[in-house]
Amino acid sequence: MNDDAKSSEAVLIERIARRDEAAFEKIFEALSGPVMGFLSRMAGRGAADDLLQEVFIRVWKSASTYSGGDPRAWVFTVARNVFYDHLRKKKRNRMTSLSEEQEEMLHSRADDNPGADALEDERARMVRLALDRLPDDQREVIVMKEFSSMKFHEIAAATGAPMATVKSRMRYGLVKMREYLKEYSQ
Amino acid sequence: MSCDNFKNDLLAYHYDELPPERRAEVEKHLAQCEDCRREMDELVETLGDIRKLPSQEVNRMAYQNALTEIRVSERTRAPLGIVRYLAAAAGIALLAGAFLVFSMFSDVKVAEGDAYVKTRGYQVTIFNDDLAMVKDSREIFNLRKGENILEVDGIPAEIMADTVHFKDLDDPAGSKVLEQNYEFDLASAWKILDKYKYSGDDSRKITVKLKDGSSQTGFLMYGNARDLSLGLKVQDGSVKHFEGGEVESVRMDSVPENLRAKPTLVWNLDAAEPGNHQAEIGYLTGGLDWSADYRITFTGDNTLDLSGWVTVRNYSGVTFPDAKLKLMAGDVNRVRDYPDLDKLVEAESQGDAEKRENDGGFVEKSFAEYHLYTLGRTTSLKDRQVKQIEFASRSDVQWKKVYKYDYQVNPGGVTAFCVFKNEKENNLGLPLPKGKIRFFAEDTFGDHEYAGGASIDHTPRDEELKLRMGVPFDITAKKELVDRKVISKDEQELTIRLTIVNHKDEEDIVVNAYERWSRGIKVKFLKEPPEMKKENSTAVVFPVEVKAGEKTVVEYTINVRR
Repeated sequence: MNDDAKSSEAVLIERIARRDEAAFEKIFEALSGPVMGFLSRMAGRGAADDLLQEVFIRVWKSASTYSGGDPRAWVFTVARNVFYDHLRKKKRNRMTSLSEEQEEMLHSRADDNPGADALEDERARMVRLALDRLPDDQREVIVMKEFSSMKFHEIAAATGAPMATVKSRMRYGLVKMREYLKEYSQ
Repeated sequence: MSCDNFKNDLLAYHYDELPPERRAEVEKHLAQCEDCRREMDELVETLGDIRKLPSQEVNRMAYQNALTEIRVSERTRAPLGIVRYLAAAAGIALLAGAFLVFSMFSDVKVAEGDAYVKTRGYQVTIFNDDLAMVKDSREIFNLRKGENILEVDGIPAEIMADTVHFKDLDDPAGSKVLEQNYEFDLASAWKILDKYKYSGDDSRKITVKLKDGSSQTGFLMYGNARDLSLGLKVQDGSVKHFEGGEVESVRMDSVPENLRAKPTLVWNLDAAEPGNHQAEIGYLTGGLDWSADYRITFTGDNTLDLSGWVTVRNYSGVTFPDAKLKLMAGDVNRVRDYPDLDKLVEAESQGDAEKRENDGGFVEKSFAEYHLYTLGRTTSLKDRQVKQIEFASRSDVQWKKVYKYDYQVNPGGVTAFCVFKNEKENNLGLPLPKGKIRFFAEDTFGDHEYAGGASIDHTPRDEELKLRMGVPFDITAKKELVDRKVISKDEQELTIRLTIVNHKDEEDIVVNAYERWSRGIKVKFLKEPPEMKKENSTAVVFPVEVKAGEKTVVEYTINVRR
């Protein structure tokens, strides 16, 4: 991500604030991949499509509140808000409406089945389980880094945490994952 | 320097995100410290595992869906709101004079003796997918023999102009539309200003009022929508530049021609018979949709009440007063490509269409895969209105609870379903359009508490409904792999144990358990669970009975080949 691309993303967000649909399409093209990387790992594949839409609808609606700064980090702040809102809603509805969860299970856990699908790549399954078991603050840093290709300073801006904290969250997350993977392999 | 100073920078070093000096320091430390080297290797190894996980592609529909939702939400603002927004963004206040001109345009301009049209009534058929067909009855006055220019307004902005058809009911053969123009260049602050750009017409002066209280009159030489600045040629011939922030408002004397406050069809109508004629205009348009919502209240272990509403949304920009309302349900996915939408709707009058009434004022008719609901009375669909009409209210519907275990849906629990028949004997027996269902349960005080939601597809009469109620916390399930024999790289024998625990105090339950596998994998049951039935080519189902407060264990063995 060079500075030129950054400043053009900033201009796009400013244009969106003025209801420019062409700018909206460009920002979607530029950032939907990284945002999808974040959402699909954090919320599961089933929910990610809907959340992606929600993120960009909110980008449109709240573009006027963008006041400069790292444009990518700003979009990821929106994405995090959408994800954590989704999580809260999911927890609240856990006992009543599980259709979203069901949807997620169908997609993200379809190959967890210990029965007939046991020929699946076990290692990949264990890695996914280990990643999902991490606390959200560690998991989101790893996901933003690896599935959204963000720099540490961008993650710091998006999460509002100091850069040293972001780095140590990622390090502790990876160390913990390694322990979980050992445990699963035994 | 201790390792702690470096460990937090190992990842930044790996990603090459350190300033050169710090990078050199970390490199030097790594060369000397075995502990840090080992941690670095381990971190990178775990990252390698993570990078093997598949990534999810962006569905291109996501962009389209987001855009549609945005447009719908923008549309629910008044068009005036957009003008205001632009005006505010530009620091321009369109003054009262300009709006007066707008309202003048919203009436059809008729010189004495010219032909003109008046609306007599509407019939609105709303399909799915943001599409509606409007039949608009009009009376044409003062039609003269030969060519007539007619302006028809009260037309939605999203009209599909190529679908407009005209029928003169009094003289179908003699009256013909020779030419139709759809004029939709609606007035907005920027468009009006743009039309005022100086092009040699000395009558088009504008007056710019500045925030400091002064004002300037002259010709608009340029204007920039981005930085909201403009240039004005003033009386002495010089051009004055104003920054966007300086301008308080812009005044102009009239709305330029060719801009309309409402979308308008302009026809060149050739008539054989002069006088007043009854006519019908039909067209397809966006901006209208409908959905169905249901409420189920559980009144007992085996009885429920069901009520249903349709919600009609009109954001077409036009009010349809006293309209005959029809709602089309079913799989009309490709309705936009349907060549004879007219015939589709007219089919309702054919003898073979099945007609059923229900108690909510809607009459339902089915033909092909479509279901048409006609409201028995007229109703007004106001612009930017969400209208709800009840179409069903039934009590004492018999239902039963059915449990299902499917590892892929929920590995640790079972799912409960509410099952009932949509038949007359069960106080139902009416077609239920696709929609959302909300469950309510009566608590001990007789109040209704929200207990979750589900959705149904279009359900014809006499079919069974199976609605997902949720996951009961007092039934748990566990599926384990208890033995695995590897026969070859592509063949294994697996013994699976399923344990279902019923923590309920009184209710004995039967859970339908599913075992599924992927396509392309061959599965043979070496030891079957009791009463197993084949569900389809990649799934079997078997019942598991569990008494209240007890658990049931089922073991089965399968041979799996790739």
